[in-house]
Amino acid sequence: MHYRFIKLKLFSLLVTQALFSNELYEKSLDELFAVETELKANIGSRSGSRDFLYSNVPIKVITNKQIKNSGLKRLTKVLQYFVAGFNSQTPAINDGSDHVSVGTLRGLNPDQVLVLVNGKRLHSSALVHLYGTIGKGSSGVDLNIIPVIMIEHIEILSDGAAAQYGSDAIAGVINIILKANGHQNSVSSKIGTNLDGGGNTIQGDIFYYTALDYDGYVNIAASIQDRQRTNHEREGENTPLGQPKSQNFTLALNILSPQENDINIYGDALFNYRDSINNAFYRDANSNRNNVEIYPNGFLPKINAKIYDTSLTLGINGEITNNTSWDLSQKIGYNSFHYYVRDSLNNSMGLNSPTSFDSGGLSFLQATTNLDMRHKFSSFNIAGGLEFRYENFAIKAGDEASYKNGGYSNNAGAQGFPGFQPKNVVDSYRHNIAAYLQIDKKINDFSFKLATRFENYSDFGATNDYKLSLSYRVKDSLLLRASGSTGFHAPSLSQSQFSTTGISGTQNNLSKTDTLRTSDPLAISLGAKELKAEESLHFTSGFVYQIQNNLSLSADYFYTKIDDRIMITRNIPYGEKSIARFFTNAVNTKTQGIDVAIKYETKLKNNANLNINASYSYSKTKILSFNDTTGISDSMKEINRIENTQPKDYIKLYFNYELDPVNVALNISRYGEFSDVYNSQLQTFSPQWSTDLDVSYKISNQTRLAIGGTNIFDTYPEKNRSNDRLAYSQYSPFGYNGAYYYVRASYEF
Amino acid sequence: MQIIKFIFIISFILSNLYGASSEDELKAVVIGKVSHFIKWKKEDTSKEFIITVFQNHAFDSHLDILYKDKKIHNKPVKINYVENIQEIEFTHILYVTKHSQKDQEAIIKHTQKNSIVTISENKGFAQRGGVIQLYFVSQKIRLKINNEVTDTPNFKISSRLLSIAKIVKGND
Repeated sequence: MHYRFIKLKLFSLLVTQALFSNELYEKSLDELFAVETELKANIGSRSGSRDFLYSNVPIKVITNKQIKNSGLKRLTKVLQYFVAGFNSQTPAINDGSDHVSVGTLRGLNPDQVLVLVNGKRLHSSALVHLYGTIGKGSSGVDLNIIPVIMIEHIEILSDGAAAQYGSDAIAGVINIILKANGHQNSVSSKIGTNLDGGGNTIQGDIFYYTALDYDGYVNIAASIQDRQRTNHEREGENTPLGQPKSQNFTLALNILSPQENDINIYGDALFNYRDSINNAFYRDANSNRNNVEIYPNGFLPKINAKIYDTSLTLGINGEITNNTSWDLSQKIGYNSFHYYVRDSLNNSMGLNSPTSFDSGGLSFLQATTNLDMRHKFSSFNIAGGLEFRYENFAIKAGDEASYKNGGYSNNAGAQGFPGFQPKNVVDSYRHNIAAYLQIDKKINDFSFKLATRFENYSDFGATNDYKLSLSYRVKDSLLLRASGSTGFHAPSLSQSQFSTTGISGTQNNLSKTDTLRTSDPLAISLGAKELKAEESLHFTSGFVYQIQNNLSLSADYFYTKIDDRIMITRNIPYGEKSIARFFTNAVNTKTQGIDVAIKYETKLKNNANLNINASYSYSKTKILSFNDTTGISDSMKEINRIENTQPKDYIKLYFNYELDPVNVALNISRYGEFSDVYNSQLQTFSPQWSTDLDVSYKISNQTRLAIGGTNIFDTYPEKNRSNDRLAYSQYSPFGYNGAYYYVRASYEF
Repeated sequence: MQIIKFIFIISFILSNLYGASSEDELKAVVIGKVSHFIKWKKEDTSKEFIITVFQNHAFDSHLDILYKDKKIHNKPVKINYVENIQEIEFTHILYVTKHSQKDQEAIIKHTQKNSIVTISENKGFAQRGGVIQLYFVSQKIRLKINNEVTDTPNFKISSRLLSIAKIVKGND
């Protein structure tokens, strides 16, 4: 019976292949040039790219064409548009967090997502999110340092992958592949505004390709954006709520230079400069934060962030034999975040106070050296490597007026953002070494991947992680898959070394707030312990069913348990009118959910191409237990931040209709409910729909014009009920800026 | 019982039919398609149109299945597989797979000497002296042709094919 089954299967496969290929053979060469092959992805495997749909683990790929058709120019927006379960919010009045867009997957933290560029780890921002945002207590990668025009495609691995890539690959891995060989030169511009509340933007982009010998290339892209602030202040309130006013310049380079003897020299570089300004809360005229002789009507302090970000990768790879290859690379990434405060004062300095301050800054440097080897023999692929990483985190003090107590009052420091003090200054570093190995094996319709990674950090010690993934191809159209792995998030230097002193509280009930290093004697006396790594356990299981050659369905269940998640403690009172807080391994959580994706593409009778992607993501995080003794377990706000501030579920419906010379891209998103706590009152916000539309027209082979909008039906989240100062919750997953409309043009040459 | 068996076979075939078209399938088709645009000048006494694959790790059975009942230049197609240069006999097309990178220089020398049409997906193949290179940009197949070898004593590539390919300087 078994023999007959195999015979039958072989027969059907042969017939299938013949039918398929014959259909292609009937096409002319010109028509074959228009055929799109399967999407391939490198992520999640070190043995070369393969059809992403039939991977052992869930992978999503966003193509260059999809990005182009969406009309989007910021990477966080692109991910939010295409990926159900990706969350990026619009913080405001949250100090530095207003100026750096981070993203999360599956309702976890920004530092639990690993971001790669061309398969190499990208450094995170130096900024530590300290206040009411999803990433409170973490530093994430600033995704908007990459010009979208430079992106070839984006691979998103929705699975734990620390055994392959190291720290942070807990909720998933985002791999951004920069444009390589053969792309068309182009320039584009986009001008838009919000229907209400301002927010005018203008952006220009350029991509230029130069061919080198033997299919090498030099690709360069630049993008410049000017974005005005938006304002959605609550009626009768003087504090505007909105996105910052910013100027953003990004530059990117991607190079491949093949040499003789099968050697390739490659590299990429990113540079970003951002000047971004947003307000803090309004200081009323009669507030003890104000000096009426300087601001008779009160004042609105502004925090001006100047951010430099750069990274450089240089590598060389080659082949020793037809089956053995090697790769040696060095990547250096640096981020500097500097605070300036405008239209403010230092109340303790009386009339001697300046109104502008240099409040100091943060910087983070990461240098990673990798040596990878890959060997194929028989049906085995073996890949292994070594990694050395050096990290440096520094805090630079602000000018004296930004933090000093001038004696006029106890309300010391620049209003808006008191400067870093000399006692906060730090220049700390650490290094880690890692060794990793991955074995891939195919036995008939079974595929196995086994990965392990050992890592030793100079500050907190060693970890060892494992991953086993397997798939079984029941038939050509049906794949079953499952994986199990362990993972970790190393406490970042910004978590272990950050400290600052600020002022918190309401207008006339203010306290000095110290955010302390865990090694600070005061923190130790209040219960601080040395930070250890967050450790995770993952399980994923699902299937891919290719219902027709143009229709596929995938569904995956996932389970992630994380121990010792790092958070900032509650405010702990000490001394007189002083409170302290510090980082701690506070809670153990579990997150589980499902991801479902349906993909359909067809050619309509009028010869138009129609692509439809529908996806659904559900995730629920629950705190299992508390490790911390500082009272987080009593904090409704902190518990809610972990469990409920991100939507439980997402629906994405994407349609692209293409009939030369017209292209229409329509994206409908449903963001599930989330909740926020203010003044100890919990408010749950209902699910909301948001619709994006881009209609473009090709007026010549080179030129395309488009009009479009995001959130075109002008949807807003429900208004805050308990927060009497801010109209909208900053946890709203689609912001609070309402409809945004634009025109754009592109020219290829 | 026979009906059930028939339905089962058909459903099995149909379920397998719905698989995405792969790069390998497309490359297999394009190899035959471009052959129609090449004219072999010398008197060709072979009864078959021969495609030789150097180190077959790429195509599985795509080529055999596809060309089983096809004709190129009015000749039935024969697919040969070789593992080293010494095994290469008379052939119209030599397809050099990705896994032959280390042998590429020697293959190109051999095929240039014997005026064989070579096709490969290897990076820099056309510029290094190969005849036709296949490559992919945004999931779509493209061709590069070495301008030094478009018109040799043995074969000539049609202007139609040259017009849709990217022409590169090669033979270094």
